Amino acid sequence: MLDTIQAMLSDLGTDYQEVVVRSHNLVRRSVSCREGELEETTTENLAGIGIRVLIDGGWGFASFSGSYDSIDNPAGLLRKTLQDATKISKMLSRSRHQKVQLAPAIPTVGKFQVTSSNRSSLSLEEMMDLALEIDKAVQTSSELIKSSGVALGSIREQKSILTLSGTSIEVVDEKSDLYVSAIATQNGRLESHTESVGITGNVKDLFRSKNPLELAARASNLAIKKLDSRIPSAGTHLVVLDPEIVGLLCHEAIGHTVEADFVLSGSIAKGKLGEAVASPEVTMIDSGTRMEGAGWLPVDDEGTKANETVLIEAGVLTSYLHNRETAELMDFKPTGNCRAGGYSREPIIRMTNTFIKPGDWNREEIIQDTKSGVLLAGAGSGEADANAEYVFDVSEAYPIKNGEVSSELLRGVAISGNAFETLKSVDAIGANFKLEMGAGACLKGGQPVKVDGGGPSLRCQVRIAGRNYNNGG
Amino acid sequence: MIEESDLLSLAEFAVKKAMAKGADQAEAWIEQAIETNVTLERNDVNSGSSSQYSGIGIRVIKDRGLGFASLNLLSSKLIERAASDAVAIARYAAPIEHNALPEKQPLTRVEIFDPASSLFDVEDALAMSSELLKVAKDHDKRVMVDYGMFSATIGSQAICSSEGIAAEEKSSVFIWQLLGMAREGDDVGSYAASFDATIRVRDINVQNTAEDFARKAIHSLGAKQVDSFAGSLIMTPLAAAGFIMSPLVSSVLADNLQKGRSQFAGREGVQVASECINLRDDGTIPQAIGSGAFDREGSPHAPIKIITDGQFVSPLYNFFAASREEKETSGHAVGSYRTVPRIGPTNLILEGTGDKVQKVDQVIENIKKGIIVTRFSGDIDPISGYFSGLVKGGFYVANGEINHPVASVTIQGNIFESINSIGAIAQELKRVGSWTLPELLEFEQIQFISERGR
Repeated sequence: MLDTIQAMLSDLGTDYQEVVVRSHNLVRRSVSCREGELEETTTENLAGIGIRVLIDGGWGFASFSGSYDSIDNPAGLLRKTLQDATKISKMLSRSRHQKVQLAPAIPTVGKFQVTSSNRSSLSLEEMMDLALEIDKAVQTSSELIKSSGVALGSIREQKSILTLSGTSIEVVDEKSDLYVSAIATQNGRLESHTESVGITGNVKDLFRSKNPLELAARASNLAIKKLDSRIPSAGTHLVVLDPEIVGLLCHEAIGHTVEADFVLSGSIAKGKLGEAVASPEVTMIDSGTRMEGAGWLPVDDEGTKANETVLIEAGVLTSYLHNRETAELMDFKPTGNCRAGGYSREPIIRMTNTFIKPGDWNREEIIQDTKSGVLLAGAGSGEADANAEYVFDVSEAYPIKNGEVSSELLRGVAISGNAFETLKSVDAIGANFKLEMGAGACLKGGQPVKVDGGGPSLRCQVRIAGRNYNNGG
Repeated sequence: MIEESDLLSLAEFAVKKAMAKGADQAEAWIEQAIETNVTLERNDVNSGSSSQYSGIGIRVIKDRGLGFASLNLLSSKLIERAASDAVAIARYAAPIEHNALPEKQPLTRVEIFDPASSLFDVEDALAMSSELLKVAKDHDKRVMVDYGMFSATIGSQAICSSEGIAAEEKSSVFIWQLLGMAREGDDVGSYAASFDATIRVRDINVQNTAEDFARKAIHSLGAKQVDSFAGSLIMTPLAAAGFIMSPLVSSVLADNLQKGRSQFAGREGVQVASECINLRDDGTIPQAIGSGAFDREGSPHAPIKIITDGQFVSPLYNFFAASREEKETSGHAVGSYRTVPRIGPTNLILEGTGDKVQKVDQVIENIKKGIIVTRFSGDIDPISGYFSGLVKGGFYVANGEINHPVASVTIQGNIFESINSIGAIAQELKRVGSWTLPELLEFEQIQFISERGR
């Protein structure tokens, strides 16, 4: 296949600014069960090829499903797809006000392979047995547990990218995740809690740092605790964020506003390069190179090798996240953040692993130093506006009083604020560090891709949506 | 692309192979589509694409064990291997008594394909996208289109099973949307979104969507803070779709009810919402996005009353969940070739009944103090019903008059309590994709929390 594509690219005329041919071949295995019953066990094989063409400043894209080896006359279909993309590209170039120019490519050649690809994983039968075992652990943990659920999945993807500008790479990637949920009931009240973990690696790797039965116990305990939980008072609170919430803050609150496509659209980060946007203690990074995070991306879908991009250094905004188009527009280098959610989608600017660098407080010191506040842990979903106003839900919140964390669980809260104001309020950063935002994916542009986030524990001020107003409570 | 008749042949082939491998029952769902799409970004045309895809999902039952395999590589050899994989999974899976496939039922064709769509190409999608952009920008220069798109999808789907089901149909869907904000100096308005969809070429109206988007974006400029207060939350259809419909739908799915994942469990025939609320579903409406002759397992769709006068009347079923209660499926199996059929709505209609139904103007006139919300950004737990989050694109209403846009107001509460406190429901309805909702829906006594406090 690669030789055919290379030959096709070498025959192209000089009017092509860029051509990117991406081939994806993905195998997904998943098991889900509820209350001791296997609901679904599936295997899925998804393959396809997408071709993106830039001519005279206009993008065109065409794709087809199927793998090169499984279709009749693949070379003919590739040429037809290239023709379709070319036609669209020429048509679009006539309608654009501003012609697309790309920053010079930094061609990448080679094979990039996740280290787990050489290690054994669980068979589908073993995954079925394990999912049922975890589910049973939730079910039998307490009489208050009304319902249980487990979803265990893994993806192995082989991807090839060839570009007119000289990139020729193969990537073998694996992602795995696990969700464990529990629903508890008492006096007609239903409360639920879900624990999740998502990694770069195979299913066995999921459990190197997490014991699945401990996850089951946590899901059950927290669902039960929520039955007696109270809603916190609303208002601006001093909070200590654990790493998973810091990850969500990095991703939702800051990360999206510094994606260069959003910046060019008028996000609040526009024109703020070189300005202090956070406490001087804050340094924030996006890095596709870190395999310990679920957002590992060695080469992006334009063929740019992954970078460690410093977004905020000592509180000052230093960079945005770029593809080749925005890098050219804003006179930067591409940062390796252009990602597509599959062979049939065009790549857009996305984060990878986004985190804050550790500081010099230890976590306990931060808590001991907090007279009145809230400890927030357990990342939920979230979103942010272009004006940096973010909101996301937190699954665990505990009051801190006189330097001690209370065992009282406050029920799930939504926290919100202005991203930069929140970072300016950071006054303590822990020395601990974890890349761990749970399972799930970023859904920007309707294209789910795996990302991760994290950092140390840190203290800042956020707004909590609670029942009654209590400023500074 | 594969000819339609060949789609059914491939599905039959998959079923035969699965049965030959030892399945007791087998079903194959196959689909293919061509999607043309033109996107907008940063006030300009961004990109155009043409994608074709196909795929097959094979479901088998062996000794009451369930197996499933899917792939998007439609070669005989690979389909045979997938059938074999599905049978192997089913052999290993623990048996569940009600694992079985539905029998053939008579089907009635529903019009969900517009022949004129066959002529629609990327050039037409480009013209529509360009029009979206032009109308939005012409409305007001302060409007910034961050993202927009127009897509046309022409698809075919077919199903075949060992229980005699063999059916196929063709569909067309056009979807368009705009996302963005208005900006005036340092004042950046809240994110605005508008979208619409249809199956017929002659019903495409991008002008209305663009005007609606531009109005929302401009109106959110100059947002002011308000004091915390308790008052009415008045939701527009797009806001209500996310806020109320998602937890409601989750609560009426039979599998959630059976597994205790719904507040409505054991409450059939009981009042679960204000008496002014009717909720129904109808997958047989001609030219509607959610319609079709058959559901994801080949059973016919049928109109169903879910909530009538606030009483929970009936859940939505697929064949498996219905069998558990020894009932007939309601024809609500959903999903693509990539998943085992699940349960979901088709065309949902939320409408009012009784004296709380008012015209839109009357709804506003009767508000003493409240906020009209065009978007809710936050979390809603579909099981407990607890919600908390931010009001976006909100407008402060006092004594029947819309005063000004509001910024940063948080709300929290429980959706299952709120649906019992409906103050008014607009008579006029608006379609949001495959759902139809009242133009305004008023929830009473919601606590709005502002940074300014009381």
